[in-house]
Amino acid sequence: MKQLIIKDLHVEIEGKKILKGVNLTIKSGEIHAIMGPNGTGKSTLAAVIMGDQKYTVTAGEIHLDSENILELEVDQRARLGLFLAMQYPAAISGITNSDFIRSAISAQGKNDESLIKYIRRLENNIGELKMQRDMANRYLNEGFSGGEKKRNEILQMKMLKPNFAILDEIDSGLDIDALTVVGQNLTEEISNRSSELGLLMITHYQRLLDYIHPTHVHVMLDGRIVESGDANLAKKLETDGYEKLKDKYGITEIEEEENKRVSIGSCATAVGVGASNEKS
Amino acid sequence: MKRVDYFFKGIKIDPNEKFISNEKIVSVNNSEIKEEINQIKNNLFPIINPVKVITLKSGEYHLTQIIDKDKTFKNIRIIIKENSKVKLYDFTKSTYSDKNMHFSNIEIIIEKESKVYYLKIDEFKNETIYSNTEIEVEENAQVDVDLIGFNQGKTFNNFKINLRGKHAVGNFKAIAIANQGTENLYEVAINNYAPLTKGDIWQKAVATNKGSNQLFTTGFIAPKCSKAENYQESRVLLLDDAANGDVSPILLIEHHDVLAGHAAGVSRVNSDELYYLMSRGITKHEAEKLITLAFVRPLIDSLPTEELQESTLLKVNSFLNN
Repeated sequence: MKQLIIKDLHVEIEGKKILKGVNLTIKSGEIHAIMGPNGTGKSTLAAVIMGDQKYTVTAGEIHLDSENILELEVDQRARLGLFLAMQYPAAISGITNSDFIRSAISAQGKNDESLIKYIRRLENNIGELKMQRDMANRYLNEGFSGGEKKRNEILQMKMLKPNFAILDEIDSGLDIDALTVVGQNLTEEISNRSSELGLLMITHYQRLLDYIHPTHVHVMLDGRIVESGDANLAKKLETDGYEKLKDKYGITEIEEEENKRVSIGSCATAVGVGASNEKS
Repeated sequence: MKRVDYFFKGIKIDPNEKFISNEKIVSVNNSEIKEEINQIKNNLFPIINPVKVITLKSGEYHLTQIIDKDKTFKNIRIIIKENSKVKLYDFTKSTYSDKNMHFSNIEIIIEKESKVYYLKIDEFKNETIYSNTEIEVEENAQVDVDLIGFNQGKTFNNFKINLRGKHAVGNFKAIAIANQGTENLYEVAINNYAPLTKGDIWQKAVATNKGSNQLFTTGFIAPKCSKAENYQESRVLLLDDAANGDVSPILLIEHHDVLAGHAAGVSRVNSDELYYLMSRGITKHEAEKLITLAFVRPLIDSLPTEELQESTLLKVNSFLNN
């Protein structure tokens, strides 16, 4: 059994404090959900666990078993079994989905699978996620709809079989049918790999938790986890909202996270490597 | 009143471009290099006469040449007859490197109604190469050029397409990889000398390990060329701090009823793309390689045979690993 331990984590971006002491332990087989209003640092927590260089860790530790992963690069963390399903994955024209996933599998040292077996497994998973058949040969996230991008993240998770998967708002931008498909796939993945997989889901809404039943629910407010409990906590939140909790912990106003991207213009013919205009 | 129909879309501003400013590009390198080219041209042109004239009809032709010791190469005029469909493969390799300057001069005249595909793959080891290619395109004729450069020395590549007759079309695509010791200079121009002509330039250059790529791209539309079109896109990707790249996009337009546009940029590997690939366990080096291949991929994927696609891909890979 593996453990992901976060101790007293403080994080800032450009001098602005976002996380103010987060403590959390996730063990293999557990399903954690972090809920909370916008701008409380949920996505920051996910990005910092994965190793996004944009954020500065000012205090605290993150351990995967005995290893201090804050000292490791993003790719090293991934090879230890961490996986982040991103809210805004990059689109890269020129790399096919299939090549990308195979490169990732071989980078993680799991390339004992033959090419034919790999393709069969990829096609199976694409079918299970009810994605379009040509998904394997399309360029990575290029021209994908919001829902297709989310499914593509889950596809990678199914192909890579990580020890700890963090799902950053995997439910946002999905319609009810797509949510059902993603929910079913995740449920299946959890039941197939129950003792090997630890899951951390970040969400605004309770509706994802109708499909995937968490063992632990946490509420995050103003850069801290203020309350933890079981699945009932999520239901209580759905009826009460966050206002009661804000009052209880004396938080009057929560600043909006300033990570909105602004377009600075587009170019004449096509988008090159240097540009990514997928973010909004 | 006549409508002013041409437009400039301007140089793209990329957040990753910060480290290389436009002023630096234009003021330092431009003039020095231009002067150097002019010197070379002055020395060369008096001796260039078409020593070999080849006339081609429909078919596939190979122009493979190897640069041996003490041998300057290629000084050819190719005439493609009316109504022909020609595929021309031009592979030039140097087998050894020396300090002499070598030059190549190719002139291709494409007569009416012909369609030509011209693939040129350069693998120059020599210290200095001057390669001059001029293509004349007559009425209703079309040329599609793919130029690929794996050069190890100093290369001046002067490439000009003149669209002489109505409805002439010139499409130019190029990729160039620069590694240690490579100084690529591409001077590419498409000139619209007739109405209803259409020119398009697409260039991607990658520089790593002190390599250098400079792209001077010109689109020219002559007076009275109504409904002419001229587009260009040039991009340089720099893989490390020591690599060097300039882009200089120029549009010269002397008529009002035309369409033209240019895009250009010098940038490093996009950090968001790198982060995404690395978050799946791919090492930084491998991720950069994947992004680089993706950058030049559109040209490689459009090569006419699978063998060519594969061998080019392999060469890009090995050139980047050197």
